[in-house]
Amino acid sequence: MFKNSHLTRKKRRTALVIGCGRLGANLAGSLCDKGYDTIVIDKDETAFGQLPDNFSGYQITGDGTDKNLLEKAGIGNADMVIAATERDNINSLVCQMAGRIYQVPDVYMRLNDPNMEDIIEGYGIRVIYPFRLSVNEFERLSHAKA
Amino acid sequence: MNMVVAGGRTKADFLIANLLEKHHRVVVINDDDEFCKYLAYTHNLPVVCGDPCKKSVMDDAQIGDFDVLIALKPDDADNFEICQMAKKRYHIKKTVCVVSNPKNVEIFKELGINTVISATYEVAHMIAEATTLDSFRKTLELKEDQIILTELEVNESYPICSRQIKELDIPENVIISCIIRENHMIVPNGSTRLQEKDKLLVISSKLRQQEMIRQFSGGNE
Repeated sequence: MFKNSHLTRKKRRTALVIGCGRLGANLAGSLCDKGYDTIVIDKDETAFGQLPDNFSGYQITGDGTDKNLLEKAGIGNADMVIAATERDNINSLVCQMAGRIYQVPDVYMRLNDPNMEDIIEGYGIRVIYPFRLSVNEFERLSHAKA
Repeated sequence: MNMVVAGGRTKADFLIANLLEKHHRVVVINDDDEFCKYLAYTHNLPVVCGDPCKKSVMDDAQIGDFDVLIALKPDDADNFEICQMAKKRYHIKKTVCVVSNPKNVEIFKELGINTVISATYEVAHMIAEATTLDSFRKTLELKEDQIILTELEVNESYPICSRQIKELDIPENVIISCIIRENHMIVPNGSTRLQEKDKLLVISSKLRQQEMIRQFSGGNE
């Protein structure tokens, strides 16, 4: 995220967040704080209600796996794509399109099913496992207590 | 060949019947209990009941090294993932993916799915062909698109109408191989005179097809 020497000539970096659930919405907010031009895509317009107050980016309603919609959102020049919908298959498709077709340098994916790991291996996608983070947090808390 | 059909309803039913008729070995994976029972009963074949997107379900089907997997679920992303799993995990040689969004045809191919089929995409192509190619009806592409067979009906306004073939300035790598005149077939020679409503079967290279059509029709197409 911060190894951006090759981006210094560019005024602002852009990030696309697909899926505006609790995770997507809050990531979008923190990306705005970090100075990214942030675009959030969700098929359900009411989902944008979850965006936090610090969100200052754009919202697009539509299918986040649609080629034309992603191009309209500027995936061709995006510095970061985060797929944060609740469906692994959608996230995988979005991330592979971003990384393998549009050559987006930084691609993050929310993944629920750890069995998918071998499928997306080798595509340079960085994976966020909500369940693993929860387990880690439990370990930390229970250790702290002991 | 050994084939897996994952997901789908009517399409799956029809396809399975077709494949069995051709003596392929077929395994079905479907997430609809009732439909699984129906398929097992009507087609008498192994059926694994469960979501084909799940690893445990796919493992149950024992499809390692099968020849073909066909993904027919209603969701494009699901079908994409099923095909990718089939390739990477079970080393299935060929994957066929049905999509509802026609824009996914090229995307999925680029991402490694062998064959991507969209009804909308196919129909759109057929319509485009039917509307732009008014009087010449069919184009048949042979040998990886290198050789083109064009069917072209001679119109009164065409410069080639009422002229002998030897008078025509036919481009290189183009030959009028056959003329269909009132249901008779004529193999033309230089002195054959073209008439209105003749159907010409023209063989050409892909590069010359447009040039040939332009010359024969006088640019009226």
